Amino acid sequence: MRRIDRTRLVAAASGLALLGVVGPVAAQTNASDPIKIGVILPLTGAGAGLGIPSRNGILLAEKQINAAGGIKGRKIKVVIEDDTTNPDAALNKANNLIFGEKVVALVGPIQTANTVAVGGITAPVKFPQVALGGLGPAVELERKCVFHAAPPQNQNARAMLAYAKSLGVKNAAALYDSGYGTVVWNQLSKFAGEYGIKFGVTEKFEIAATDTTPQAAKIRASQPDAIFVIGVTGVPVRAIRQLQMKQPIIAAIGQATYEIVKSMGDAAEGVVFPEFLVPEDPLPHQKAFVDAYKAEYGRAPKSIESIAYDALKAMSQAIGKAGPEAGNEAICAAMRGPYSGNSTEYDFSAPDMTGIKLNGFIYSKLVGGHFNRLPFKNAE
Amino acid sequence: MLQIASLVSGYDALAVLHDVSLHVKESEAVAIIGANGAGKTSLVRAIAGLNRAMRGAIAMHGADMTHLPAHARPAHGIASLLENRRLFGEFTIEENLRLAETAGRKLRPGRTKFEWNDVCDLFPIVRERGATRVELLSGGQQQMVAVARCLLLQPDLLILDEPSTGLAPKVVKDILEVLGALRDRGMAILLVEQNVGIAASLTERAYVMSLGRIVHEVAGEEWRNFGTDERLAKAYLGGGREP
Amino acid sequence: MLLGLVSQSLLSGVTNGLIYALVGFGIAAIFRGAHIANVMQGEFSVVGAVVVDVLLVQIGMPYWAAAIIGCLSGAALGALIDVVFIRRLVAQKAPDDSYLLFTIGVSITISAAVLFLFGREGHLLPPIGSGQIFIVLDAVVQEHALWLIGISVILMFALRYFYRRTTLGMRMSAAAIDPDGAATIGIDVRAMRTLTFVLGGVLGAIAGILITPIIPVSYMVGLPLTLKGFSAAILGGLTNPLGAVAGGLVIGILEALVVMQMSSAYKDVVTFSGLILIMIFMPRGLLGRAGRAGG
Repeated sequence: MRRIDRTRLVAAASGLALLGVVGPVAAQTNASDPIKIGVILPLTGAGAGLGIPSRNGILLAEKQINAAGGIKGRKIKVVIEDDTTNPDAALNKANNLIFGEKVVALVGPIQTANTVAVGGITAPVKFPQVALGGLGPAVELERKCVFHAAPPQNQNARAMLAYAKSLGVKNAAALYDSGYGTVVWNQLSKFAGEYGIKFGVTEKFEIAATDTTPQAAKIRASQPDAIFVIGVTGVPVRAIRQLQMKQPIIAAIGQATYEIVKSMGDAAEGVVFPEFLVPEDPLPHQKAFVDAYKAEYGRAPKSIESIAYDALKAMSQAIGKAGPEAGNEAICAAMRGPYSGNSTEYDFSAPDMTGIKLNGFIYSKLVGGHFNRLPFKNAE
Repeated sequence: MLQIASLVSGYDALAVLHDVSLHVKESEAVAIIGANGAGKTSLVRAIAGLNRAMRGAIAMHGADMTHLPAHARPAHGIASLLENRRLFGEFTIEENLRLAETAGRKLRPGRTKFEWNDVCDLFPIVRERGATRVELLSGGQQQMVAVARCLLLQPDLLILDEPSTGLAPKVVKDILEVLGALRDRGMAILLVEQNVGIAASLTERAYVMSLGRIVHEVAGEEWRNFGTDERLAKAYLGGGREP
Repeated sequence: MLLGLVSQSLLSGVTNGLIYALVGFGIAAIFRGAHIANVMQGEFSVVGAVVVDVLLVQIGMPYWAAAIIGCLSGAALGALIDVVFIRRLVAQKAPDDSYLLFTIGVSITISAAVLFLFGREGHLLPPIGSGQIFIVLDAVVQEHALWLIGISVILMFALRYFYRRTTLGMRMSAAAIDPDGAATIGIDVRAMRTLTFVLGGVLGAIAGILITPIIPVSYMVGLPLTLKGFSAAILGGLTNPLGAVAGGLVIGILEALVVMQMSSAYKDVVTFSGLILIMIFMPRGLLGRAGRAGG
């Protein structure tokens, strides 16, 4: 009896010991399993015009990272979810990715509301996240693990205002949507005075509105020197030109895609964007990305694709630096620092979680449906 | 003229009429009586083509109508006036009548056609209030319009389902007068009625229905006296629920 | 400059209002002829517009030919829906909510099919006419807008005449008012209903072709169009083409005035409050009728 007992005891003890060793390793991934990185994008709904190009940029980055050996010899695998341009859906997908798929980091979402919603679960546990939209409301300043690969709205606003000032604009109008347009507008009105610009008539429209003629009519009546347009469709620009307004239009980066420009029709002519990538005339360090993207997808990339590409690459670099098993805080800490992206120079340790400077913007103007890089550049 | 042989018919899969056989000859006026639930309305709907025939045959002038869709049956010479008249309320009297006129059929030789003027003569209300919407008329007036509409189909047989229901006695009398005039002109009539007195005053022969079957046929003197006969009570005892 | 603002707002209101009315025509036709609330009406417009776009851009057909084929495709789609599906629902004596569920389901299916076959992009059709601009009362008027207004008004009178004066139109109405009664006077109710859906499909396609030079069409646009059309049709009394125009204009102009006088933020609140008030005091709609009985 005693011998059987002891054998059983040893067996049980070994089993427990084995569990103790194997357990935590089994709970984590096998050394040859891919490193999963979650991605949340608006692939359907009003934001799809930004989501789908972003996905292309991310997939290209994934391909290049894996071709170069992945992270510490392990391949990365992006798990892409569609938030349908809806914050509740974004939250849902975030939960699935973080707790279900057990991704080690998150790229996205794009829309401010969606990013704030997802940040509500990533921030408390310091889960590393790099959003593809700019910094939004003040609460995001406290979220030291939610980084942003697109410029904050105050930088977008300043970039637009700086260009307007260079044209000699004194009285301006604004036509902005009820989403990120409103956020940018708040910054525009805050900083306008610094650039010697006064806003007269400013009108808001619903994000997916199909007609903004009444609002444009009010702007027309006020006869501004220039019109700032912030939205994600071609509708407001068309409305302005259909009312025969000839003033320069300065549009925010969200509309700088070939699709949206196409939907503007002839109205697109002459619209100026502060953005990051003009594939017809790229900055020297951007040429490799433009060529790789064209080879992969058969068409030219724009700023949106480039930002998403940078986001995944930056986050992968941080994961590599800290180690894939290092845990949330370590990866976060590794992310906090300067990063030379294809789009522009970032500094994710900056208070606005982005670190893009005003001289990191380039400016493009639409001529005959094509983007032309303007010589204009900001000083600082 | 109208021949129904061993008809089994009903709603969806439920048979309500069982082995019904009857006939109506040219210019005959025949009644169908029975209690509520005897199947009288189902019989009218079967002849009109609104209820499916599951077994048996319906023929008019020798042509088989058994499986013909309802809208094709007026072409064989029947005009059905269903319960509740079924006029188009938001249309005027004239519009209701014109709709039937354009659906009209080629007349059989020897038949006089009901012209628009004939109808106006028989039913003065058509001339008087032709532009009034039918839904604004009284029940009795609507009934007149319904009969008029049937005539414009140029029928050989007029089938009426309880035309006196819900109408005041004076109004019923007026309608019976019109129907009598039509009968005298040679129109065959198949009258479904609960009120035996009314039925007997207009028709020369009757079928008694109970629980979906024809249980009795009466004619001549017997039929005329049916109002006081106790066989009436017997027929009515068998009544069930109207489907 | 105030005159320009007022006239531009009014023009915008009238144009938008008639866009609502165009979709409303199809909804009114199908309700009048089949007593079915057609949630997929907007999709008929999307299909019509997309077909014309494909024919114009990828095949290079002349505009008038593409437009005709676009209308035929609307007619074909309507006929298909009736023959393949609605007939079955009627034969099974389906309750009213079944039809509503069905049209909702088909609207989603068509929207998904458009997404699958034609992609996500929005498409703009070329405007009718030469694309001229007129300045009237200091407002910018596009030539296409004038065509839209003109064709809408013509359609309104044509539909009204069709339903009230032609035998076929009256038969189609009668078949829905009382199918049994209609059958007994020789009206082929089933055929009338198919024709109703064909008419609804054609009206939808026409609406799509007229609207798409103004609002880019994509797979997403169907349902919002349907909702606008419904608002116009219900406000106008649901079965009356004149009512759809009245309802559409009320909504369109009210929206434009609200944006002009107050801010765009209040547009929907004021417009729909106004709609609710009108429906409370005039439950049959602006031009709905006093009584509806079957006789």
